[in-house]
Amino acid sequence: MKKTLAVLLIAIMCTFTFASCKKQTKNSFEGQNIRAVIGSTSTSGDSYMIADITSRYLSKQLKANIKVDAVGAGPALQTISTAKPDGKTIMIFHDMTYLGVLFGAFDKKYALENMVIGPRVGINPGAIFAAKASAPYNNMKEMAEYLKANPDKHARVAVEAGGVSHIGFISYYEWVAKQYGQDVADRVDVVIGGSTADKCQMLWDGNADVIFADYSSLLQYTDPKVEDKLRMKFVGLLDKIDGESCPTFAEMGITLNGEPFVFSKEFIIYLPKDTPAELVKELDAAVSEISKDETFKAEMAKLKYKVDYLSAEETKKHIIEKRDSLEALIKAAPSLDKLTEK
Amino acid sequence: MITFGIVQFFAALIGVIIGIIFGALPGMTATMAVVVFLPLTYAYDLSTSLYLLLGLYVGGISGGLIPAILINIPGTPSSITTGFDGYPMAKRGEGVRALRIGITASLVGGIISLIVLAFFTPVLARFAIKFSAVEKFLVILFAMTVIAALSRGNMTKGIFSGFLGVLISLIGIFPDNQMMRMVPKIFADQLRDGFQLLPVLIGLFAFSQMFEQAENGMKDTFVEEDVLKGKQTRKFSFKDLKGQSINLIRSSLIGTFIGVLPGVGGSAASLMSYSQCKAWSKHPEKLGTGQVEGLVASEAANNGLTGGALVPLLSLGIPGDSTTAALVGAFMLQGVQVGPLFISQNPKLWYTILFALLLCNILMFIVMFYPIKYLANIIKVPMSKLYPAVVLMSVVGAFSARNGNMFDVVTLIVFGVIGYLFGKIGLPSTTFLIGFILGRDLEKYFVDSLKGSGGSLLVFFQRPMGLVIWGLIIIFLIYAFFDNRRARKQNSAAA
Repeated sequence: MKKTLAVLLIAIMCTFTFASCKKQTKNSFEGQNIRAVIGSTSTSGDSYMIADITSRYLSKQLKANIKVDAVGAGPALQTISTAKPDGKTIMIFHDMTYLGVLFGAFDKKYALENMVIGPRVGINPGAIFAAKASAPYNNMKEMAEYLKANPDKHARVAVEAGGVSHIGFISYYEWVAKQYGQDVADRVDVVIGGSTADKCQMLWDGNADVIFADYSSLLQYTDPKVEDKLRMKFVGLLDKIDGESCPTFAEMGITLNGEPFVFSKEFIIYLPKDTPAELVKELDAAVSEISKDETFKAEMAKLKYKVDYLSAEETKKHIIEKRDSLEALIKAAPSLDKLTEK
Repeated sequence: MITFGIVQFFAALIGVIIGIIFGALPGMTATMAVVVFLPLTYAYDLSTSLYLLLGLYVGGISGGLIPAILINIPGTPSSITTGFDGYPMAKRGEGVRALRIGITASLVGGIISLIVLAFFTPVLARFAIKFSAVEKFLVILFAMTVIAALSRGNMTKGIFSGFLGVLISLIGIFPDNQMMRMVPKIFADQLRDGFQLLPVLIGLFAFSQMFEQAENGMKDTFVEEDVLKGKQTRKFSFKDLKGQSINLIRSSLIGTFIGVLPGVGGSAASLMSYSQCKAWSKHPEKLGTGQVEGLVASEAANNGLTGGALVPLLSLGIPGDSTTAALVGAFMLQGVQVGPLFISQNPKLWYTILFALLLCNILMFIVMFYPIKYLANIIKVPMSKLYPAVVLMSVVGAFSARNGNMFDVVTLIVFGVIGYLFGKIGLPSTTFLIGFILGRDLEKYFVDSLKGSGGSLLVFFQRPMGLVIWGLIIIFLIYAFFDNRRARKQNSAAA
């Protein structure tokens, strides 16, 4: 009887041991349906492309089913603020997450402090200003010089309120005011543009002289084979892109608080507030793992995006510092309402 | 020359069938179908993906006619005018006939737009660029003249209701400065992007009908009892389209033209086409009572949009409508850029797209034309059984319109009540909806025009193409005004 009891006890212990072993190897996301909201409604912009590529690799890594929902900035912030912290809802979004709040486009309840900042998956250095190929300047420094030499001329720059283009414009505007005087800065006019398609049409219609968009979406229009009416040239990059000869803001000497201005869109995974640290850790490890995958890197590189993993802890520190450094600039800069009144 | 095989054939067939289902379900659209299936296409090469996605596009646009004709609920916003004449035909027991006329007109619209796409893309692309915000504003204003056409005999209320629709469409964020307008603070989150079109549309059409019936007593079925007992009063014959060739070509070309203009919504195509059909009709007073010409105008135009919307996408890199905007993702995911050099650099892909569009249109016709007679029996189902299913589909459709938003279900009910109240005070819901659909675009292009002109309103009268559109608007409004007077005289004489 004792022998039977001992065998039974050993069997039970073995069962529990194996069961727990199995549980340890399984991550919390395995088999789950995960909704990844993004801050854009477009399925062709960098937000969707990076989220789609990342979620396909993450799905494999986590053995989960991640679906990208292109809901737009407002709904994405709302979703991530109200979702349960169970790992079934994540947000993959770029710097507009905090820029929108700083510019007052989104409520303060959507501040970074009210969500969990996960790992950074990649960056898009391809934020670019473009002008018509026939424009009398080849870059934005020359544009300022052109305006100085031609006091009757204006340059209209199409930007999106509360977006990355907004911060790029403000840094340029402030720099022009310091370097060339307020008179020249006052002739750098703002026109508000929406999607890339809208901004292209504004340029072709003659309703804007310079537009801001994603590098890969405008690259085709710079080809010499494109007819004159449509052809564009790049006049300013916010960060260096391999193989692109157009100067960056930093290379043109455009500075922010005395420092060269460099800005890449950083794509970060955000989770609802109070998400257990364990889940964030598992997600972090999965992103770290896929970021070593050469095919993932190649797929991102095909669209000029860079895989640039940063752990959740490092990302949090970095992005809050980035936000705080921009806050003073945004507060001091004239609002778009004021700039468009000119 | 093209990529085609059994896999591509089935991709197109599956796309068309699923697209039709999406189009036919109130609250689901062709754009949603494309967005849902977009990530799946990564597993295939671009050509196969395009067969699937174009199938979804053509099927999604075409499927909307089914509920519009059978139960007077447009399956998609672009089929709003389909129900004007299709539903009265169905009530007369000509449901199958109306559906088959609509399907045939859809095929003709799709094929004509395909011909335009194949042969005139470079010319039209240059033409589309010349269409600035000013012309787009005027085109939308022109589409809004359908409000006057639909308000025959009741002009003041129709126009009031239309402009009320425009006003309500502007609720939410103003994109230029990201500031909220007309939104109580407690609804700041829910109404950030305003009321969504699909719940508003279903609420006004489906729920208001139900509230009315709840008050007046529910009829047994959608069709009259004598129709139910008897057979079809008239069966479909291709001879039904005799005398419609000019209407078919004109409507298809209007649809294609609207598609070519980037940023002018697809709903404007069928609205403008219906409006023109009424202007050119020998019996304009009969439109809206179940006339073949009205149905043909609506369906030829909304399918004419499909080829037209691909023109700016494939030649400029600018999508012509919301569905083609979603299609861009498929190209980008496969590393192909659509734009000015697309056709010259990807001739094989270009011919494959043309062939796929042709195939999808033909498949749409085959898949819908023959089995539709069974589906048409839906109007014979007792309302007590049909309405719960409609409510369920509408709620699911509204809920899923923005990936699970309960506020959209509330919107559905609220606009159901508003539609019911409109009926009580004699305000037409249809003109309200047209104003609502076109309102945001109307404002956007008005503001964009002023941005370009530095605030000068003269910009609307300085461009030759704009003056031509102004001329058309004025001619049509004068016609509508006199037609309204004639209708009022007829009404008072009858009284």
